[in-house]
Amino acid sequence: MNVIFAVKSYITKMAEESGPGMKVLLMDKQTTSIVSIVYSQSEILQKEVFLFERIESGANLETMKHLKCIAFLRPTKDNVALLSKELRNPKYGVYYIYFSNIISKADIKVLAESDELEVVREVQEFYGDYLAVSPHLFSLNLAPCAEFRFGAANLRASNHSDPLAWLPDQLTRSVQGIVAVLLSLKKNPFIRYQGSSDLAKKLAEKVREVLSKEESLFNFRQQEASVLLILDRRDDPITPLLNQWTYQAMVHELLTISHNRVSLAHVPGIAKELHDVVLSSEHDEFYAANLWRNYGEIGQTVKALMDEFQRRAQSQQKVESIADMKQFVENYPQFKKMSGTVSKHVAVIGELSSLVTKRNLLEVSEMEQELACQDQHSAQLQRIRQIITNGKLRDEEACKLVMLYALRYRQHQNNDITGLVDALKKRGLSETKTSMIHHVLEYGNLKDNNSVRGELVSQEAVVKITKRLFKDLKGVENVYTQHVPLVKETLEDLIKGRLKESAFPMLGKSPPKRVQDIIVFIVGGVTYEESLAVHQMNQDSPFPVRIVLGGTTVHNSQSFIQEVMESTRGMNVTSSSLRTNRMR
Amino acid sequence: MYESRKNGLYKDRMAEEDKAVMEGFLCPICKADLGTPDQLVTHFQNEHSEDQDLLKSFKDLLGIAKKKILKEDGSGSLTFGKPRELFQWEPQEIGASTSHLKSFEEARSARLQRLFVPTNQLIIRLDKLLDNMPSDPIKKKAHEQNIVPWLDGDAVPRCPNCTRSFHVARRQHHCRLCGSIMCDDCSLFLPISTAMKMLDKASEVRKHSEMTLRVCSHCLSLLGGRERMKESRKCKPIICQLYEKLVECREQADEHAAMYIKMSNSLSEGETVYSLNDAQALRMTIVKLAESIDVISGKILNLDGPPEGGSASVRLQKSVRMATTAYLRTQLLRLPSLLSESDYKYAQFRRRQQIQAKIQEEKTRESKLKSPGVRPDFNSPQHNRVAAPTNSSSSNDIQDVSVGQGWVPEKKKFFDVDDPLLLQMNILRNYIQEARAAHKYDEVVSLEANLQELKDEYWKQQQEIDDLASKEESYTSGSDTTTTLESTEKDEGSQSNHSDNV
Repeated sequence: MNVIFAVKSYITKMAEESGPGMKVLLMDKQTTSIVSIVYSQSEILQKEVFLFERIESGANLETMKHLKCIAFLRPTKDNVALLSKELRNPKYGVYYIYFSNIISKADIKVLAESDELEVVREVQEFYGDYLAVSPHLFSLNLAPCAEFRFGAANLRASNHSDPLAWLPDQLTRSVQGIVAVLLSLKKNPFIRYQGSSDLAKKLAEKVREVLSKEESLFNFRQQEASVLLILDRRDDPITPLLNQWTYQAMVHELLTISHNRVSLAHVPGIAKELHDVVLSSEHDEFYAANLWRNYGEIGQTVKALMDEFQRRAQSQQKVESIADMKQFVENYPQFKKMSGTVSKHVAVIGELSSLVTKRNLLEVSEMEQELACQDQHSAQLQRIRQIITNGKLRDEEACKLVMLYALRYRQHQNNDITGLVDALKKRGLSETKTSMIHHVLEYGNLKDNNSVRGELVSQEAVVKITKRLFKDLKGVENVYTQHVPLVKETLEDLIKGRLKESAFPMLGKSPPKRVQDIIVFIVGGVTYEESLAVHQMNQDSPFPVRIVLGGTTVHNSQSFIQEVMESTRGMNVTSSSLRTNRMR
Repeated sequence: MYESRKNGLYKDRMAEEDKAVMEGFLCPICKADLGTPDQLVTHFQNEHSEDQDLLKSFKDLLGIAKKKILKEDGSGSLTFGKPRELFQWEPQEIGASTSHLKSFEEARSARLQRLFVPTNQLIIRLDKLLDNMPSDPIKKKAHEQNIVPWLDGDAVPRCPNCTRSFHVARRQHHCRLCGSIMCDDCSLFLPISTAMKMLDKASEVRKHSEMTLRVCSHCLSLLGGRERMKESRKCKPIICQLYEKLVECREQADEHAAMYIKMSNSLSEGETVYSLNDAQALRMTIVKLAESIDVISGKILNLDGPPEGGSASVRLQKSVRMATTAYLRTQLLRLPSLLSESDYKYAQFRRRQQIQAKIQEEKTRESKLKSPGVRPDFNSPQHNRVAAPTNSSSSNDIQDVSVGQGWVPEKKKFFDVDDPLLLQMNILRNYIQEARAAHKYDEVVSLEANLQELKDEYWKQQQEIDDLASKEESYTSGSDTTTTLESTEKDEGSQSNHSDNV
């Protein structure tokens, strides 16, 4: 149940199956990211793969018959057409073709008939059709995944009460992604989904369809029971809005990680080689050891790293004897690697700390955590008013605070969403910005006044309150990291066999009480905070479970708000905000 | 069940490695406390010989533990903070895959059949035409028409290619391969020599080699296409040749480097399995290989691309160079340096001390065990084993060696020595020399062990002869053997001095 291993072993096998000799890897846009996120260039060079070409560019017009071509492509119509064109007039000596997902017999035939020169040696499906971000985290890099269903009011009368509907392409891609994950991990799971979400239901049904259609593919030696749980981001819109303090999550929130890369180009006076840095747990020991640590700890470890580096650098400087020189040459590659690591992380952390001060994030985050975890409406309302009228704050943070407040106290009798929005307007925020609050509110409005979830909430509320009491008694360890994402509770319930069937229905046979392997997929994106929670559950759960988390994308607050805006475009948000007013 | 047994074994073995003998050397099956590791092994071999696989795993574990310890000592790698928590998940197999090769090939061959039938027909005709072609023009024409029926000229008033009408000045001609009609201007000519090449008969000396065959453009293009395909499969630019050389050097270097690391580790432990000189020689060989790898990759980088100046070949050259430098940097330059002569002496000295201490300890244990009279039967064969602990460890090393690299000493010299033992010893010495030259140090070690055994045997024999001689007091026949003995001793001293100081 390690997705990085799964994808990596596919690629290794591709490189090895073609035997020795110089090779070129022919990819499309998506498979390029799939490969590059798990394999570093230097690693793949050692597999004798020396050239990387994109099939859609067709830039390389040179014939190089002495190269073996490994084609790793998604099975799209475009790719099949491009590949068959390539085979008719082959540039390379022989071809080993791998599709990242299930391909139709008709497409195989088209390709076969183009291969008049008999250059193809292998045609296979290797199910590496997703981005393996961490050993337990995958993403499909799809955003937004849904759109507002026009005329939802009419539909609401019928069974469809969900205002959002899948974008068809994104649905297909999500199904393919999940199927690939299942095949690459060799799992044939039981399926459960979030009952309140049409998006989750639709996806679950589609996945189930493929599972039964391709029954022979999923015919694995049956191991421990595994479950695919499909959730909806709208169930927990709070988590992606919070500021993060663990290294990986923080870097993503403040600097945005995309395909394991972080751009520092905007930082003034930064060295040229640090414009675009790679943060990969597979290839960077320091990052791997520290990606779950919090900001304070990171500061200390970076200092230790610096000291260590300086110590070594000094010892390298006095190269006096031949022996010193020999040692220097021997340690040089390590030394160089280390100096690269040091300067990279120092630059990243330096930028993080400057952003923290500039955006006043300590104060903001404390407020956010309080909002998310504690239940003191009037006191919190007062503090928010105070904070957002404070000039030191950025508009974005002020806006997010109000969003959190609105989501949290939507049903509170004395809530003052309009008052806070007015306060934001007074700060000079435009109408478009303040309307984001209503959009988020509408997005997060996942049928909770519906009876099913409603009962559940009231029941769970009791549990939550007692939990919170306990927490208060124990005292909070760290005010900035109190929040526990909802997915953790859901998973714990699932593991203990206490997940309500009314809220999370099953498709097909019902799974046994005890499950061993869980694949959670969140429609609408996951966050690194959730990734951390899952990582911790994998590490030390009282039950021996293995969990893999995935989502349509990995969000930070910025990308999340953007997805919300795009998904709810066309929604009549003013009327809904009126509704909230009326509720008061 | 098996798993738990294994764990128990592992613990015992680990304990032994750490010399933390307080827990005792428990037999994993009958749980009896044997005083020393060797007693445990003998006990195990005698009492539980039916559990052979267990014994094997037992021995393997020793190797594992050893490797682990060696690794922990030898690494000077950088560590960043706390070591990364590893996933406690079981090893994962590669994900599912589906092959479409079969259906692909079926569809392809169906297609190819349609395409290649005409071409193949042409080739068959060509072969028949050239086979026993008469030189006489009339006979030749009959021969050609016999194989390919010519089209009737009356039905074709114009050249199908250029549409000009035929008349006295523009006569009809026939393609010799398909029999169709064309004018002289539209005719193409296939030299017989080229045709022979197409049939892969170029080596056959033919009398008509300067002649040509009249063919139409269609047939020639079909044949030409086939030729191009053949050509492209054979084509091999310079970069390929250089690259092949590069790969060859890398393979050699890898092999040597693995051996070298083993030798270096063993030497720094103060073991006497390998000699320091051998290791130095090997290091030099590796350095030379690294140099030639560097030179070749440099040549690849500076190759001129094809005249089109394609960017792809430049990128390819750069990548090869980059991969090679990375390889040199990470694999070859990182090889541990050897101990200096004095350091090595010291390491040896330390090891000897350790061994002495161990022997001492075991002896005291044995005497302790002996005094109450427990298992006296295991003690008698024990002394021999304890006396040569380096041998036992070296034999473990030998077990690690991957089989299948198949090195065999090549030359065989014959020696004019009467004694078969001496002859054997001489042959062995010869082998050792060859093995050393081929950098097969593991073979050197095992051969030397054999030599040592032979020597011991020889000594024993000589001793017996001497004894006999002294008893019978006949000195006349003894002098002959002693001289041979002396000469062999000298020989050994010069060739394999390090095996003596075990």
